Amino acid sequence: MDGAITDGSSLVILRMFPKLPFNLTYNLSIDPDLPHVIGTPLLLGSLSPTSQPVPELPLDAANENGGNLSIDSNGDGLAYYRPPLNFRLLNGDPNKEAKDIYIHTLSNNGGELNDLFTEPFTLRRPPIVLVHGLLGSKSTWENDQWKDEQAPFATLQRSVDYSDTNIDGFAENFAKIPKTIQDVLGDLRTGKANAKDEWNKGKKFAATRVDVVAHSLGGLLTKWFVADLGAAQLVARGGSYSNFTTAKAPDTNYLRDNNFGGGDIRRFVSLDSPYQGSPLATQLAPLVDPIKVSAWLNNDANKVKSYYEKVKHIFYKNGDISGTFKYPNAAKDLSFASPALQLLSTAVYPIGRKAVLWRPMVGIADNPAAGDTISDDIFSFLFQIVPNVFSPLDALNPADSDLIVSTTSQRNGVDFSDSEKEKFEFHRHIHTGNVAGFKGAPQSDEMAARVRGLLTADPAADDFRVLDK
Amino acid sequence: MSLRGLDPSTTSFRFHYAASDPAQVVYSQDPLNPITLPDGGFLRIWTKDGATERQLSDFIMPDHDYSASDLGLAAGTPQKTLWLEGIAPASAAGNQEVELTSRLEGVLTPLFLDKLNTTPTKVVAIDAQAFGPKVNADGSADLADKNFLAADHKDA
Repeated sequence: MDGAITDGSSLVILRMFPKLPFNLTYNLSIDPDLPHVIGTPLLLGSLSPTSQPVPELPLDAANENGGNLSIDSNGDGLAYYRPPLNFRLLNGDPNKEAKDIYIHTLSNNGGELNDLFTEPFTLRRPPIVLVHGLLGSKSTWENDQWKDEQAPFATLQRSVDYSDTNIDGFAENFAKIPKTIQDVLGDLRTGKANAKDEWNKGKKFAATRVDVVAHSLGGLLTKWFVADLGAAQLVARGGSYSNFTTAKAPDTNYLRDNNFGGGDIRRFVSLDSPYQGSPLATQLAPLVDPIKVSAWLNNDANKVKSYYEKVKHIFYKNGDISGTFKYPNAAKDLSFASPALQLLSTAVYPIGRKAVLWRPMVGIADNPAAGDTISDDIFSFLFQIVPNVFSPLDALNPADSDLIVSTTSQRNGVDFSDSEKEKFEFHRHIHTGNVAGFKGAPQSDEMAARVRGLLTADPAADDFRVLDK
Repeated sequence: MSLRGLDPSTTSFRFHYAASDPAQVVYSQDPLNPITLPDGGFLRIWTKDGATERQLSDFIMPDHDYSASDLGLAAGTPQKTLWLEGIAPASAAGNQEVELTSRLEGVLTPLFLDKLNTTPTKVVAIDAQAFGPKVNADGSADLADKNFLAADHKDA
């Protein structure tokens, strides 16, 4: 390994080759020429002997130290190194994505220390995994606000893409999240991760945890993953949910032996995720009628319509209308008090040092113009696409729509504190393009700036709560 | 090294050691394997410190005869500092030897001057999650599991 993902996200074992007939002293420093001076402030992480229990992750800031550690090199010559929680605050630019520290190794003969050699070790911050929402795709994040290694700040980014199964439920879609997380961590470990900084190219990093930024449904999928609810059996959700059971595939478990039970996510920011259900989905779900959909798709008059192909793919696998009707289970799962939401509200979430730090952001639009355009949004988003399938949509209460995130539409949301209901003047749930100046959450400069502030905050800042019910 | 009374005009010197020849290093554009070292070498001896810009001509080749003047030795400068660089970690403490012999003009038998034992060392960092020891049920490491110390993690 040439480095580690930091902010308490990875555990490294230092090993000396070969074993030496005297004790070694490891010392961490930001100076390639000088070992750290004991007694001065440290931001370098912790060293501990392997004869002690494995340090847990994430790390405890109060436990941070990085002074000399003498180990018995006649034994295995091993030490645990836990990277620092706050490496950004090391020397130099706090916004720089990577920083080098130096591992000084000294011989220790009865307390007489002599330099053996010094090796550089690169610290990088956790990558961000982006999770889009219902009817979204990777393109949700393809804008100026989200750019790999550039915006909202310099770090690796990787997008989850479940667009081809988008309207399926939580159980069908969540597994793309651990897959993407393990892909990006694997690339960092093998030196395949892209790096704009020349000196980082090809370096291998100890990488265990990512930060997740999720929009809308993506937040619920992430929570489903952390709750270890697994892949539910593919039961029809139309009737009873009594046989809605879960089955976990080993590689989608959140806490696994191969990460010392530490989990994959350090911090989790969700943008406008309806954790207690979506008003819009609640009203739409009962309206979906397979007979009506089939009739509409088989009507030649509709086959010339621009959105015909989209409707086919929503309700039939690969758009094959001779196949089995595919219920949009996301709408069911997002309905108020659905069995899926009940599972999320009764699940057991990691606690203590394994807890996921969570910031459920809700941007409340507080601009009169936003409310005035609600009907425009609904027409463009739904009416014009599937007018017959979703009729009578005019029964929908505009104030309950998720498209404009208002205090009304979030009335059934998580019990957010006032500080978490942040006001973003030109903010909508999704970007429809109907009204210039108004953007969806992932496209909003204001939202991206807040995420930047949250993910680069000092760990001691009280910006996050523990992910729970 | 020191002339120790030897005549610089008639004495040559030879270093015997497991050298890693810098001329045999292969450079590549592959970011994962930017350099490939020749097999078998552990050490390099140089006439210049690493802090200065070294040339291949500053490298002391093993089993090669150098005149005193090649090494910068003369009657007026009877001592010369050479620098030893560890390239690959030794397999055991002290098992890398450097032997210095000299040959006097007209004398066939080399004269043993000195020998030193050294230990090129290296610290490697191992990704504990990917390659660490097995984990006990209580989350502690199973230190009896030494598989993670296998040689294939040398470059982890």
